[in-house]
Amino acid sequence: MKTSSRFRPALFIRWTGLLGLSFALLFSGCATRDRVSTLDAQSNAAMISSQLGDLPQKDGERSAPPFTESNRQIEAFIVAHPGQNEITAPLRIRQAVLLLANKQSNLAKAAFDSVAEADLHTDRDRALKHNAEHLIWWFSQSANDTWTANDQSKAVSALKALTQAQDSLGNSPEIRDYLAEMRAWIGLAAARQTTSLAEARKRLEDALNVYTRIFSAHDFELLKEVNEPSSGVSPTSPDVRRRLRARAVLTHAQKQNESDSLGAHPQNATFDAIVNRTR
Amino acid sequence: MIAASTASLVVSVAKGLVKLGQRLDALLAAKESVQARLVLVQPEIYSGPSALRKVAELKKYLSDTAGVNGPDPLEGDRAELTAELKKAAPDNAMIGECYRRVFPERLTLAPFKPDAAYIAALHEALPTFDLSNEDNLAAAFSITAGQDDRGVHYATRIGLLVVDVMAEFGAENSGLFVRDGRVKDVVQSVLERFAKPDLENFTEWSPLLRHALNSTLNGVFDARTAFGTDRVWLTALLDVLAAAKDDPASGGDEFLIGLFQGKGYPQLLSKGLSRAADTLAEDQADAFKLIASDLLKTAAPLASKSADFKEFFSDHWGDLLRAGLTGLERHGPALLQDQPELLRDVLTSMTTQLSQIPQSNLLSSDTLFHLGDAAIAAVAAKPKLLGTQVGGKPWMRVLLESFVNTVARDGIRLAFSREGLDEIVTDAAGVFAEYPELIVDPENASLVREVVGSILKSVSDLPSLDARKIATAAASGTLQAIAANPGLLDTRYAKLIADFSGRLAELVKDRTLTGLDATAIASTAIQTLLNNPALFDQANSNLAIAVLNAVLRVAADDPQKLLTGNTLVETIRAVLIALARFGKARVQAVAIGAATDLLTGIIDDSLTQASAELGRRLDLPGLPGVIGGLVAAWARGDFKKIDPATPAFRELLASLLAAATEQAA
Repeated sequence: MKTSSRFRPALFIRWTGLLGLSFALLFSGCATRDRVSTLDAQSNAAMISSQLGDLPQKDGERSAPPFTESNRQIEAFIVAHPGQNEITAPLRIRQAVLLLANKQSNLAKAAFDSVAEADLHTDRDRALKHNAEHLIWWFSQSANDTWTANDQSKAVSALKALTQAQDSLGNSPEIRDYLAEMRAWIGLAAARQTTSLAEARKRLEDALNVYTRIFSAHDFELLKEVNEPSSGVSPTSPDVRRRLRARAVLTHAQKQNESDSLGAHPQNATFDAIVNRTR
Repeated sequence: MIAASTASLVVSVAKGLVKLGQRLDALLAAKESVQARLVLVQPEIYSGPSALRKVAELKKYLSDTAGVNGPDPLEGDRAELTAELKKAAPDNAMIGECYRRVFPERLTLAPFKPDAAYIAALHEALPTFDLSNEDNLAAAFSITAGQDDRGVHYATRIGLLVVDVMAEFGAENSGLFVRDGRVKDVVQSVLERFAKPDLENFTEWSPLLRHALNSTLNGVFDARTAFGTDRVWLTALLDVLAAAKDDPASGGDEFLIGLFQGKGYPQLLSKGLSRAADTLAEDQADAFKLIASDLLKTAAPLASKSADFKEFFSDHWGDLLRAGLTGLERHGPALLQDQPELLRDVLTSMTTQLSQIPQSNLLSSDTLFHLGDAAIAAVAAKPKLLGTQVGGKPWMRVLLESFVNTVARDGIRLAFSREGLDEIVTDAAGVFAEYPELIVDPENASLVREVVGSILKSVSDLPSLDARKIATAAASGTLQAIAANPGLLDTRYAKLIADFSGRLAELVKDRTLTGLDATAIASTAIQTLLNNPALFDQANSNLAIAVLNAVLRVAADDPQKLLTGNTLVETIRAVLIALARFGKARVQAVAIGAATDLLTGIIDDSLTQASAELGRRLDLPGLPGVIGGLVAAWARGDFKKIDPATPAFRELLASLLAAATEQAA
């Protein structure tokens, strides 16, 4: 076969081989990233599963691993990667919230405690670590029918800390919204845990007054509607989520205000109207 | 057949790729871990009766069961609960406990699930959104990582990783890229240092840039032998810096970057070393090396104590060395051979004193260079000066403080621009360097504050540009005059000039004079006063000011407005000269007001007579000379008052007009 005078097969093969080898070497080593990615996906699925029950499955898909398995795998990965704090510290936070959601308060505390705040670099992880004490208390006591004096005190601390967190996380609205909603729930729960009518009213109003700070004028406009408009919105956008979740909070507050005859009036007109709406 | 060099290259490339792959994996894993979305849920919430409801129901229960016999879930606590419920705010924990015993079935209500409510609301609002899809569900609950507090983001860090691996590869294979052996050593040295830490682990820009600069500088120094020996002064400097760097007290690698972050190195090279290399003998390089090394070693611990001084020294170490080189050039081998430690001692003493003087950072590069030059020159002339104490302070400190205090005084600093003040003070330092004898007398170490400071203060009310012009002329002229006539130090000369400058400033401020004229008048007065310093010193008043006032008064009253611009300046000069020669009898013992009146009268009459001749026997440039001549004749006592009718006066005027014509011709 005649070849072009410019084309030299031996050289071509040699450099092609070298190039192939290069890429093979380069990309053969991405196992750690893939492993972390798997841990993230598994833990997310386990978290939802623990909260909503087993996820609805399509045919042929295997179900999410139980949280214990996800927790075990995260733990094993962290143990196998000592000194790589940039990778393992966020995983510890992930592990801690997974344990919290599954009512493993002591293990969650141990996970939070094993992370240095200096190894965390994003607003979300730092905020979770910073408020770990309050999260642990709330996840363990939220379903309790009666608060002790100690719980009352911890609720006051949590409300104060979460107000600060909410006000300081303007650049990271998703974690801000999460913590703000948590504060609202704690506030509403606190209003149910006092035998004084005036105090209950005050607690409910405070819960909603602080909560209003995360909403825009556009949010308030849409919250006035009975239902979230369905056209032209991304169902998973932070704005939609903020409003949909707020509707649950406000509905709960409205029932509480009505059933206990609190006569609470949040400062925001939209919230006030919703909370005092007659069912 | 693959050549050995090619095989080596392939192995090197493979090694680099493996390393790149491993570190890239770790970096991407970190990115995944840090930035991955995280599902966060809200816990279940108690939704049974509230405490208020419990109180109401317990009250009803107690009422309904009062006096009823049978099993009582409250047992012995009924009385206590009854009492508690009478309080305005019963104890919540007790109410809860009693309620649980009385109505346990009412607490079995399922807790409220905020997340389930959210899903229901999501489904209701967006029924087409497939919640059976695991990814959709995770997206509905997961939260992004939010803002990262680090300055260097992952995309950049991946770039840095590649750069790092390439730098390592380049360090191992620098011969592939650079053929010049000397340059290759430098490249290799720099790259080795640069690639030593894993660059992708830098999460802030500042340390990364510092590392890059540090690697470059120290790499260059590591390979300094590669520069060759043809530039003996450069080699000497590099050796000095390397030695200082290796001194444990200096802080090692950080010491170099501390020096180089300022202007020292470029200035030293551009203004000092190249000139020194041309003019000084090569064997003096060793002496310079010792001096420079000692200077840097002295400065290192001082710099470590104060962040301000560290910054100052990194800006100015080159100026001090440059002053040393200039001193070497000017005073030559004698400075080194006879007293080789002298130059070193001056520089180290300057460094030590500067570190102790607050606000020494107000001195500019040029000021410091001239000051160093002046100090070296003064000490070369009088070695004992260095150890001399003035008012309980070392001479060097008094000298430096004199400059620092001059520029640091608030009234002065606020009145002048930074550049303007620098120019004036640098000019003064330049005069010291030119005439070191000015400061050889220890008592004169504070001269600049007394002379320059007074002048600056006197003109500080003016707009900066005019003030700068007058002050520069007055300060420089005064120092030059004092240098040329040391006897002036024992007179009021400096004060007279300062007061005169102050008066000029007033006249400029009220727009009687332009800044330009005032500057010319200041220069004129400084020189003219030297014609008879004793007269001006011993007069009861400041005669220079009296002359100034008188001439300006006449100029203002002159309907023809002849005395302006250069004519005005020259008239003042002519009158001052006349008084310097002949004014002792007429004005020395007179107070300033009377002197001004006297002078106004004679100058006014002189102007009247001289101006009448304009266009006939006199032109405008000749006018000041004629006025000066008439004032001189008056001062000599040739006449008490001008009488144009007398033959003697007509003869005098004719001779003055002839002289003016001759001069013009």
